[in-house]
Amino acid sequence: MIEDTELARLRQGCYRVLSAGYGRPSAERVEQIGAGMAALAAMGLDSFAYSRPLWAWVEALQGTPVALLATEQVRLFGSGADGALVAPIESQYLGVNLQGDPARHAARIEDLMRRAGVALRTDDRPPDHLLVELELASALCGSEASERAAGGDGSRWLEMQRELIDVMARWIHRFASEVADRDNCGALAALAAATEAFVIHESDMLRLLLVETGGGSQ
Amino acid sequence: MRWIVCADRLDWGLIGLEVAERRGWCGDPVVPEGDELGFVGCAEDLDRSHLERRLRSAGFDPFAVPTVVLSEVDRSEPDRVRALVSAAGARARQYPGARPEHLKPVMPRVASRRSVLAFMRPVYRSVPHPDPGACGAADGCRACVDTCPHGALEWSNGVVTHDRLACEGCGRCVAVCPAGAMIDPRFTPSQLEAEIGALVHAHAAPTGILWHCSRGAPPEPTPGWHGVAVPCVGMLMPHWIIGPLVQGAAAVAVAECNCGLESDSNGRAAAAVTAARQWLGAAGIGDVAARVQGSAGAAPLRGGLPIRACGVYGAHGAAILASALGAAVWDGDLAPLGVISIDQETCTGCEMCATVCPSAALVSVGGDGNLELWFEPSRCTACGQCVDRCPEEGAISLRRAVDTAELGVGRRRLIELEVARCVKCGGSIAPQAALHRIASVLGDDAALIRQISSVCLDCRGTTMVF
Repeated sequence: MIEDTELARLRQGCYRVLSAGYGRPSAERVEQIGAGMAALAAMGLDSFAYSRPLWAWVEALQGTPVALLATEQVRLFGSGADGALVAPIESQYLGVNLQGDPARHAARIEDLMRRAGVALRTDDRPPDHLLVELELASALCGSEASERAAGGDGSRWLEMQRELIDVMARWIHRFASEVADRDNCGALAALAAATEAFVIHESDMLRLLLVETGGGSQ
Repeated sequence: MRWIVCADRLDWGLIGLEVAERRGWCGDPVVPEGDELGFVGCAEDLDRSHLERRLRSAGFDPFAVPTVVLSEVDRSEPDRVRALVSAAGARARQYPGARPEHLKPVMPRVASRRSVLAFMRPVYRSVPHPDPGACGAADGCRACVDTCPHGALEWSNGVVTHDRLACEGCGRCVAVCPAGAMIDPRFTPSQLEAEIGALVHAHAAPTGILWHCSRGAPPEPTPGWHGVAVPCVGMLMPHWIIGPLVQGAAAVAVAECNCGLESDSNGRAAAAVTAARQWLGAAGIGDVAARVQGSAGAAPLRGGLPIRACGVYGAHGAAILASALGAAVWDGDLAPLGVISIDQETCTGCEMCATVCPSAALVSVGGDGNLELWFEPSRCTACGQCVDRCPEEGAISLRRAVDTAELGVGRRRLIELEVARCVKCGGSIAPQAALHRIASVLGDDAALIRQISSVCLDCRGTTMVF
């Protein structure tokens, strides 16, 4: 059995671990990710289908030299709009033809941040960067867990998570496929696959949780 | 494959299989890390969620690991145990792997002492999802959307979106997909074929195959019969029902569906059984039709169909089966093959039918000043997408039939249309018939009609015809 507060904490941790994967690689960070995964395993990570891609990523990460990882990360993810091969940025996938102006995506995330009471502390990544979105989702899960621990149902935070994740689920497959095609070290392809598995699972999980709290429909 | 078996209720020494016996395995399924393996349990209330967690912890995909839970009837027959283990292994070897889109989480809500809200650990069901590389949605195909009884599939802007939580995994979309693009990783054609092949060949005695729904309680085991799960029996097509007979089964039957998720499943299965018998009758092997039963009965008698074929559960399985069964003409609403004809007067050559055809049974070929539509009957799955999308009423018609004479004719040209040439560059404009149709819509705007009929799209911006 898994209680809702524990589930929210587990999901928060998964977002944190994944977002760490998109940060600048270092030996210390790889170690932190490994420790984070061990903590998640103790929380019941293996009950969920996305645990296998997450473990596969951590295994690939730990088997890849940090220097190679850093080079690949710059080559693939770079700084985004100025020519990265596979920029992990939402508007690069949904911005032009499908959903209107790229600025709308950044504005949507900024609006979500304002409503959630969090702020972006760095300006070297756009608000619709995957790392920022994963961190935001983690913060929303944290707020949900706190509210649940205090006896609430967390539905307000679940609604915000759903706003974020439903859009991520539309482009994450394309992103993961492109990373898989271009990654030379394997660890980043595994990271993108783990992110895809988790985000797709989350889009279903959030709907299930919202139905349980009476705040959404299947 | 290494098998770990629960030794609580079965003396494995009598079975004659190389297995690793574990006492109490069903109560606490311990999963070692390592090579490929399978499990045989003996407790019908095996905790799947617990087992799945153990498998993931050991680095396995739970869907890839064959797990057989033996019933009391199974345990009483060593032959039966060997067949079940062999079939589960054969099926597992054909498992293609699941993508995140194929997994539907189910988390039953329970009461907790510490918290009002708590979940049981999740269990995952596999659900079908279209393979974008093979799916014809971009060209307008909506065969899966049209057949889904739960509204879980939606077509929008050339993409089929799938609502996993609304999906009940009935498998009808898998059965109707003309391109074989809709995949349920636990029920692929090659897995079914491998499982049935192993079950049939494991016994010296004649074996019957009993199709049953995977979502409800499995049917009571019957001596001489083996159950093969499909997403639901409402998805079965006539060629799926006949399929086990061409794999060597002595009889085939369909178990009543008790899942209650779709009200018409049993009616559809009964209609498919009737259709399968009609097909066999039309092929002149009506005596075999008696071996297609509505339910499992007495142990099947020796004999059966002296014809063998493989690949009958795939997208083109009906054509393979038709060729194997021999000459037949059978027209029926459930006929899984089709014959297309085009009305020479009404067709404008817009090519919508060839564009949308997901199985490439209809193709358009541009020739020297003409346009041709060609039809390959062995590729047609009678999905009807061409008829549904044709903008001209009565221009195209579909005859649902297994007609081996038509299959024998093979690829043929259905229509040839003259194409108008651009007065400026000499390139193609459109079929004359389409231009006449446009002219009839535009009415008396002679200048516009002349312009459209004389100049191609590329030259229209720079050339005016007066």
